[in-house]
Amino acid sequence: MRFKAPASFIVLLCSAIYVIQLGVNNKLDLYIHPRYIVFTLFFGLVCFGLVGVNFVLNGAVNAKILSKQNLPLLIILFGGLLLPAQSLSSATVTQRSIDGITATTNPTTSSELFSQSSRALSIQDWSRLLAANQNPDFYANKNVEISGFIYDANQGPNIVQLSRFVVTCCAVDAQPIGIPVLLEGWNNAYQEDQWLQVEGVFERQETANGELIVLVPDNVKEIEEPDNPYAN
Amino acid sequence: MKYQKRLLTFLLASALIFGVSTLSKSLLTINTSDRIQDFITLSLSIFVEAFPFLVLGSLLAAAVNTFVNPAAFERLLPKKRLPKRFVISLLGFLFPVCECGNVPLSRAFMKQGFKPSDAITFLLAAPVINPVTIWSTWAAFSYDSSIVISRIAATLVIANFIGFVLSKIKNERQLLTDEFAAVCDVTTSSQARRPSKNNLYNIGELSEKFTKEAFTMIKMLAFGAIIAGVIQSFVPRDILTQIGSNVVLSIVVMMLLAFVVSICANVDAFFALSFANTFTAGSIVSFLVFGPMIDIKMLALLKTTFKTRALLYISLLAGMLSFLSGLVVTYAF
Repeated sequence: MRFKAPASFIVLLCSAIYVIQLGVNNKLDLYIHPRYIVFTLFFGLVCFGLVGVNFVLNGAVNAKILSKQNLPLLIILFGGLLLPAQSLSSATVTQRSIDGITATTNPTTSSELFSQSSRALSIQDWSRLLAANQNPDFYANKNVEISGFIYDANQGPNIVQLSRFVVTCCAVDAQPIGIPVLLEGWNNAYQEDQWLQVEGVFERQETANGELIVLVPDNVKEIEEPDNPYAN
Repeated sequence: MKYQKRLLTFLLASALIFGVSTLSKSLLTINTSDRIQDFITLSLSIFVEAFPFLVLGSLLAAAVNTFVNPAAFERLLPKKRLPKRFVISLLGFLFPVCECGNVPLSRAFMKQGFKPSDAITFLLAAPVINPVTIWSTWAAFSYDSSIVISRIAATLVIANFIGFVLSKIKNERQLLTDEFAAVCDVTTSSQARRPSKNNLYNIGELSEKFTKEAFTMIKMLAFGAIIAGVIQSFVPRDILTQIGSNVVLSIVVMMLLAFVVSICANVDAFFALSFANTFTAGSIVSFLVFGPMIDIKMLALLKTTFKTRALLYISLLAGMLSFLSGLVVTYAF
């Protein structure tokens, strides 16, 4: 027996509810830049309202929903409505090199950055500074406190990249940024994608890629993935 | 009574979907590989980002189809051919309908006396030259305004040029299918529909047209989102970079993708954005220019109105000129 249902009604209702639910649960920023949240939520509500008005005034027109043609739609709705919302993982860092810093951030001078305590600087600020300045004296006595997930960039057994994604529009354009952190024998204590909060200072260290400025931690703490895991 | 019952059904269905979804999300945990997880996240990301633009576009299209009589604009157009064609290529600003919606609109125009070459100019330009598409392209590529500007400029030039070439054909009616040409002969402007004075009827019609339009678009969007997710998650970056950095190959591949994926112009910028890091800017522009003009879905719709030979001719011209725009952008910026 063929399953027949009001396809357009169910599909649009499910889509609208999915978007509204993401908004209500503060999960929209896993997929899109925060500046689009209100806009997206508003049109989710508009869609919900119009589908409702159409159903009440005109009733639902029967059409096949379980057809090959609708398979992509069913995958999207199944993934969106039934599976928990997820941020991007280290698998995507591998797909995209850690080099998008200049493309996704505005240039800021270091004097602007250090007008406040160095602890207040974000992982994005530090990654920008490291790209511009590899002089160890510059980083002396500047305390660092950052959080991100572990990415193994093959820099030896004791170095990991503490990473985050920077999102310009949506997760599709997410660019990874990372700070090299000295974590001796990290493989025994942690797995890739584990979120850490690290406090410490930058020092020059020998790595598999030659001498590099790396973050030498005083304190490392395992943390849960934050509500907004991207560095925006 | 009928309305109250339906309202109750609607509210119950909504509550059920919301409840099942919340329950499933709290019970299910994803135990798949990171790649599959990221494939789901990336596909959903395109879907969520494009969704409001899709709703806005469908709502405007439904409003145009419900409340506007296209024949009224014929009188306001310039009389000389070239300026008239140029104004027609800008009509998308007044009719911000996506490409699927433009086909019935162009049929309505021709029934009111538009020449087929003018209707083609409208069909090729309107999906891009409209506020929703320009806004979404800007949202996706705000960091590189040259892509947005190139998209608009190339679309205007190509649409006007193809319209000009077709206008040189002696009898433009031979571009049309025999069935549609016969319909044009008997239709008069007096038959043009006007909005009803009954507000409830208009709202019912608006919501029905919105649902139809949005459903057609969302199918294509989901298809595009899945394709982009698969390519981003499973095709090795080295291959993407190799293709994407080759000037000619990147343009050809992006145009082929545009043809196959058939994603709507209102939201195709978010699909293209997923290639922005690995592909040349020129190939992105070729995709953004060619896709709204010619793809599998558009050809299927256009066959209702234009002869196959005419469509082949238009597709070849649009393809060559979109390829050329990609080359120009690659070497000029």
